[in-house]
Amino acid sequence: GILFTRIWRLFNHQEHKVIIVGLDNAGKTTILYQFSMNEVVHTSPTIGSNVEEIVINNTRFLMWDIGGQESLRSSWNTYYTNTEFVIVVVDSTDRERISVTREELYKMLAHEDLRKAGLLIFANKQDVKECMTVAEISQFLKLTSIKDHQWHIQACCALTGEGLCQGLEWMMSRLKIR
Amino acid sequence: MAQVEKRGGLLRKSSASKKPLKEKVVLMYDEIFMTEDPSKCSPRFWEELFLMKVNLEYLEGKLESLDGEELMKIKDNINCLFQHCIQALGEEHPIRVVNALQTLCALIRGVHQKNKSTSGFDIINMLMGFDKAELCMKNLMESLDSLLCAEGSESLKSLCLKLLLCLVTVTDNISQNTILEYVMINSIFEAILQILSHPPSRREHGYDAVVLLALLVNYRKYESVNPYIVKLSIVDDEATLNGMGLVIAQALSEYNRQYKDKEEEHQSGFFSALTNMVGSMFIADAHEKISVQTNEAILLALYEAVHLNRNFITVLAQSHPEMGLVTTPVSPAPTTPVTPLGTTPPSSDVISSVELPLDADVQTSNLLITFLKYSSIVMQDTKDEHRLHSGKLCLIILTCIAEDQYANAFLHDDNMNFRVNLHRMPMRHRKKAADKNLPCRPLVCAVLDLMVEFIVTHMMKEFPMDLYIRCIQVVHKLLCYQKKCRVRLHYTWRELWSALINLLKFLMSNETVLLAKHNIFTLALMIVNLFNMFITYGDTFLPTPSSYDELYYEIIRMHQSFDNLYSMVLRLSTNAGQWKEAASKVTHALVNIRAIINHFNPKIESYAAVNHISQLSEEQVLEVVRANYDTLTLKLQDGLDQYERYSEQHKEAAFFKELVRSISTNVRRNLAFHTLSQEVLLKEFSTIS
Repeated sequence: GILFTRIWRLFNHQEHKVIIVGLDNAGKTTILYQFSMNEVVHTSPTIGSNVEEIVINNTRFLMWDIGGQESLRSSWNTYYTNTEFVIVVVDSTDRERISVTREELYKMLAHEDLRKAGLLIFANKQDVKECMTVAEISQFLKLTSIKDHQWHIQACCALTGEGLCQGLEWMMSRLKIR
Repeated sequence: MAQVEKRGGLLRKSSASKKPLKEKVVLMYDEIFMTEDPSKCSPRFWEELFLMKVNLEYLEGKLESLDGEELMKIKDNINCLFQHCIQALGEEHPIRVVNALQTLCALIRGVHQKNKSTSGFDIINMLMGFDKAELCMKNLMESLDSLLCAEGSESLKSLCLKLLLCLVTVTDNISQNTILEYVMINSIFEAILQILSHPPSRREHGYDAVVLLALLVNYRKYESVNPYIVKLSIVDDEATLNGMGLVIAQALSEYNRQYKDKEEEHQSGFFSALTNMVGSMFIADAHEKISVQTNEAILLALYEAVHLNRNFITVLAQSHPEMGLVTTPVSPAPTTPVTPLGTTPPSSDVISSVELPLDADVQTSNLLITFLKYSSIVMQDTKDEHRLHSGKLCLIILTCIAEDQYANAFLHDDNMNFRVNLHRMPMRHRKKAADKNLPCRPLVCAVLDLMVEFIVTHMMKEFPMDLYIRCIQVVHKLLCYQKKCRVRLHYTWRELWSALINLLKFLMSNETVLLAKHNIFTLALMIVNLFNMFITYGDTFLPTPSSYDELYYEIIRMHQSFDNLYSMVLRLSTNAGQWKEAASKVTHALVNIRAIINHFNPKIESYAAVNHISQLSEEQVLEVVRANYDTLTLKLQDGLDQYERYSEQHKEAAFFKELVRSISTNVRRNLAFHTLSQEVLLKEFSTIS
């Protein structure tokens, strides 16, 4: 019993690595800081990455927000090791580049280091009228075809913070099952 | 750390490893404070602005820090912000509405704080621009109206009321708040009534709604036609009036309860234990420390309702359905901490859900009883300004009630008996009366008790002359009703008589001190005329013939006081001083009292001499009195049962102006707008599930 709690505690205290990716101007950094301080911060295009530790109910996440500009995407794979969750942020108003997101998504899922990672997709900027709905995005990204990863899509608005909690809750629920 | 730096909008100080983070909304505010159009570079500027949590301190502080000239430079952007706020009120996304409401508050307050010296027109120009002001305010008021009337979120409604309260109290003198002109044109009266007539919304927002209404009624009250006055005076919907009455009753009884709690706490405290041991000589001092902040706003609302609306009088006697019945439907507890309020009225809406504990007389309570108890507490101590205001307003309300035919009818109704526990000031020479064995009596007895109580407890150097005059007027008006309607009230009139005589004695013994400040003869004349009223018409309204005899007994017993008064007024009316005329009026008024004394005293003396008794008993004196009525001649005095009706316009205008000013300041101070925590905001207003 004692041994078990010890191991459990050890396990519990370990940090879960999360990477936040997506195209530029999708809202990754805004989401990161909404998570870490419940505030909307002023952001400029991320060069490299931002990292913050987020603690929810004793569960610690180490979240890496990685720059999304085209030139930076090739370096995403350097962040993959030990990643337990991949958060893909989609700009729901950007119909033109959703296919780019799809390409990047499947490239990632194919990567060996992300074999076990869970996938959370935030359909951001839902406040804008005539944006793509969650269903549309699922369809464009062909999410139903993903069989080897746990995945979840969540509508959100990073500026108000709506939907973000629900995304985190899904991640927590995945952790419990494991 | 984030908290410390919040005001500047800086979330994280720069350190070696991390770059500083600034709040986005703050940077957007900064852009508004530039001369350029912020939406030029980012087309979605205004759409995004209201998605983000408002930083009230920053926005208000920034506006405050600019002087008038600097503000004029960015006027276009301020106008734009104001307009977009109003536009956002019509949005479907409730978070935008919440943020827009709060931004409006910050704007209105920020602009005013800086522009104390500038006129209301400048402020309208600054916020909206002259050309657009009318349309802008029309849209604003319509949006608020529909938000208040819709089946929407309670905290949204609460925010709307806060915004309105903020707007109404933003200047010290409400009548100088020119923006309110638009609130007059675009009335939200109906929305306020709707809140009051629906129990659920009344429970949540009744307090704010009533205070708002009371303030709006006082906007340029004497100078122009205020539609809120007109509308309030003709409301006849029972549910609405009752709702209003309930809100007032709850606020007042909450005050009474708080006071009682404090008093009990005090009595069981160490200090009082000590004083009990020493003797009760300090109790009076200890008592002064019990003070609960008075609630003039709610009292003003009661006054306006009683004064303006004839139908409201019936509400006074309406027994509280909610406070008395045990079968109160267990309403779904208002979703707990949603209220983003921040107003902390001394007695707040909190009590609405938690019903009052049933104390001895709550079962059959009504607004009037609650008000009388409240008055008895407030009038105890009139030393500080707030209490003086409150005490005076209580007496004014009582004056209005005492003039009203219908109110008098139920005050004197023998079938409506109540036990009213008035607070009595503990004094050195008397014990606190036991509450329990109070008889059930018509309500007018409680009013009279309250007046007697006031008379005997305020004979002090800082003589509250104005309050005394009002108090005597209330008694007089009640007597006029009794005389007119031939109501024989079973009341122990003797207490009133002796209180009045004591008051006369006090006036005489402090003649020099009081005369320096007051015309004591007006009051003396009123007191003497009360006696004249009893002497001349007592046979029509005193309960029994023997009580009429008692009146004579009391006058004869206290003849020394009347003799002294007579010699005093005679002295002052024969020399040519400034009091000549006032004093001579009293001389004439004393004619019957003197006739009684001069008629009966020799008879009593000879009775004593004949029967060889040195000290006559009361019974013996009464016997002499009864035997000698027929030889007594009294003069008929005119106009004893006439009075000048209460009129606010000229005599009281200054008082109400001052009162409203103090209420405005108070409401504004208590109107703290907290930025809603994101958690609360999302929980209630999120559109994404």
